[in-house]
Amino acid sequence: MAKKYLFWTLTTLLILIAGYVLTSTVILPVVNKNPLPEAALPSAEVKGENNAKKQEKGENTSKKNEKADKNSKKTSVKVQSVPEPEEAGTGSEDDLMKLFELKKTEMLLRAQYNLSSEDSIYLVLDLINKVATLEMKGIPLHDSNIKEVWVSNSIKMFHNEALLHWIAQPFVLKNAVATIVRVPFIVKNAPKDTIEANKSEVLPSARKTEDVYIVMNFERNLQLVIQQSEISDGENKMRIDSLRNSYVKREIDKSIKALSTLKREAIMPKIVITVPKSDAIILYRALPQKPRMVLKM
Amino acid sequence: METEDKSWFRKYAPWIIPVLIGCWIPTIVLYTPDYQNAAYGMKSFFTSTLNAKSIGVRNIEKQIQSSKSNIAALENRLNELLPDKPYILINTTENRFVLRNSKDTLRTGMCSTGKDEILIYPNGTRKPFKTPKGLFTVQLKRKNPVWTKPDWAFIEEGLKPPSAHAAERYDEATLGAYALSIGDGYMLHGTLYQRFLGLPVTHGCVRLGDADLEVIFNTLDKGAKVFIY
Repeated sequence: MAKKYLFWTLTTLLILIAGYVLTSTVILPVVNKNPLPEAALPSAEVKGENNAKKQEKGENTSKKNEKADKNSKKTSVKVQSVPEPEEAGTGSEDDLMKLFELKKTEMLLRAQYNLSSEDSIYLVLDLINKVATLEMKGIPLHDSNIKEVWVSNSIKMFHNEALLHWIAQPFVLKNAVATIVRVPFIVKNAPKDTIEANKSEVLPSARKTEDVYIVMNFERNLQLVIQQSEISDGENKMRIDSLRNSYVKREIDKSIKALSTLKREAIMPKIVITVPKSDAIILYRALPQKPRMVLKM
Repeated sequence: METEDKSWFRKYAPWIIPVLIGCWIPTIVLYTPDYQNAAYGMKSFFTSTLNAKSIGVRNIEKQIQSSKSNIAALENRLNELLPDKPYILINTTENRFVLRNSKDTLRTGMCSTGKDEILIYPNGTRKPFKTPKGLFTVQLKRKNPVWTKPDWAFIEEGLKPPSAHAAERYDEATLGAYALSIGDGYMLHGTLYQRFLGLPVTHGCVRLGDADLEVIFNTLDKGAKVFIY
C-alpha cells in the first residue's frame, strides 16, 4: 500500500517536473516567442549574460565603450556603444531610461545617415509612429501608415543594452518570400505583321494583383512580415495561411529537435505590420533585392 | 519459474517509465538555467530594475547632454541631405508623381510608367519595357522634342525597322510639348494618350499629362533629381 502511494507520488512529481521543463524550455518560448537571439549580442554581452558578477562590474565593456566613443568622433559614423560602465556611479532609473532612449535615437539616426550615402532605396520602419518609409539618399520617397503592429515578446523582453546593440545597425535582407512577384513581367512575342499587331492590341487596364503577404528574413535573426489590411479569401487565403504557418512549423521543428540535442536554436523574433494592399505592393516592389532596413522601436 | 518472472514484471513494470523520465529530466533541468540565460533572455526578464550602480554608468548627465547634442547634429546632417532645388518622385506602382521643393509638395498627379513587358523579337532578342528605379538627374530639357524611334517601336507594330536615319524614324508628335531626358534613353515627356495616365503602358519612359508636364518642365532645372521607385 505504502509502495503504491510512493509510486503515484513520484510519478506525479516527475510528470510535473517534466511538464515544467517542457513548458519552460520548449513550449513557452514557442508560444511567447521570447528567446533572445544570440546573434543580437556582441560576444562581451553574451559573457555578461552568463556571468552575472562580471556584468555588474562591467569590466568587459568599459574598454570597448571607450573605443566606441573615440570612433564616434570620427567623420565616418560608427555605432556608438552603450553608456560607459564604471565601478561606481549615480543616477536614477529614470535618468538611465532617458539615456538609453537618447542613445537609441542617436544610433538610429546614425544608421539612417550612413544609409543615405548608399545608392539604393532602403526602408525605415518606425514602429513608434507606425510609419514605414521608403528612403533614398535621405529623401523620404513614400510613407505607408501602418494600421497594426505585432511584435514578438522576445523583442519586448530584450534588455535595453541588448536592444541597443541589436537595432543599432541597419538590418540586411537575407531572403524574402511573397505571394506576389517582385517584377510582374509579361512576355510577348513580336507580331509578324501589322495585321497581327492590330489584332493583338488590347486596351491597357489596371492590373489586378493577388493578395499580399510578404515574409522578409533579415540578418541578425529578424523576420518582418508585411501583410495587407484588406481581408483575403479563397485561394489567396490558403496561400497566405501556408506562408504564415511555415514560421510556426519551423519553430516546432526546432523545439522537437531540441528534445534530443538539448540545445534549441534561437527563435526568430518576428514583427508583423499591416498596411493597405497598395502600400504593401509599393514597399515590396520598390526595394532592391538586398535592401537594408532601419528599425525604430 | 514462469509465474515468478511474470510477477517480477508486474511488480516493476510500472516503474520503468517514471525511472526513464527521472533520468532524462535532471539532465534537462541542469541544462535549463544556462539555456534560458544564453538563448532565451530570461535574465532580462528578471533584471527589471535599472540603476546606475548595477550596470555602472558614470557621468550620466554629461552623457545625456552629449547624446542630445549628437542627435541635434545628426538631425541637421539629415536635413541637409534634402535637395536645395525642386525634385520629383515617381511612383511606378501607383503611376503617380509628386513634385517637391525641399519638404513642400508643389504638385501631384498621375503619370504612366513602364508596362513591365518583355518583347521577343523574331530573332529571339528579348527587349524589356520597364521603368528603371533609383536616382536620376535631368540631363537635358527640350521643347517640342522629336522622337527618334528605336527598332523596337517598329518591331512591336509588326514592321521591319528602317535604316538608322530614315525619315520614318522621326516622330514630332508622340513626346508632347516638352521632354526631360534622365539618361539611357529614358525621358519624362508628354503623351497623345492622356486617357491612359495612371496606367502602366509605356516602354520605360514616364508619360505626363500636358498641364503637369508644363509645370514640371518649368520647375525642374537641369541637374534636378528624379527619384523613381
